[in-house]
Amino acid sequence: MIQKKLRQKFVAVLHEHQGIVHQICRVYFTAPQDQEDAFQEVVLQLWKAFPKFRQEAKVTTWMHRVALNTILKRIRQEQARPRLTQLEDVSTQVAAGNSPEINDYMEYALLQLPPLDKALVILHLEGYQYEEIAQMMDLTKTNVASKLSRIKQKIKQIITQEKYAAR
Amino acid sequence: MQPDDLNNWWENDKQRTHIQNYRSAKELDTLVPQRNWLLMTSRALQQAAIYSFLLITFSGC
Repeated sequence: MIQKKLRQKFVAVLHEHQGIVHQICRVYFTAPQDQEDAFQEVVLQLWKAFPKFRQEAKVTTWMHRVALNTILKRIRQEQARPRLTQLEDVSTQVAAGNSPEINDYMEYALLQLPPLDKALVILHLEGYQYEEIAQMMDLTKTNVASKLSRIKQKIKQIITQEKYAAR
Repeated sequence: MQPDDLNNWWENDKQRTHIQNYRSAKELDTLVPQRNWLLMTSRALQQAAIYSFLLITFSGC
């Protein structure tokens, strides 16, 4: 009975905030099958962790933390490939003389980042404060601030280089 | 790159991803294992501790 109620509650939470998990899987994996595997793995880890979730943190914060830790662990274990298909898409457009949209450059730049940097950008774009990101990723606030500043510079640099190359 | 470009891209991409990958509650339910072993184990241990405590307490009387 308790198990059934817990399950219903979990599915309701997952249903409401499933976008978080989908987006993280998409940023980290290229192939639809890899995305699906990652999605299922994150759901499993969320389900395992759900009884321990005490509502002290926001449910979205908890989901981000579990999802990112699961994905980073998976990448460390399997040394997952970067999203080559997407990278090729932009390169092909550039080579074909097409002018890619700013969104393509943005996606391209994000995909170039190492896994931990991606996690920091995701959390930053989701509106978390430096202190919250530091807690979630087990870093210091100063470290998060300096890393994000460096990452933003890197993204700008990648976009500028790609735009220049496309001319 | 404008300051809001990355944020705008992220929000658009999030919406697009959500629409493309949306699953109903029924579909999500099928991904959840039937039993949560962590919950079951912790409850079993909790009950064992209670019964042990009661047994020791009353057998001592």
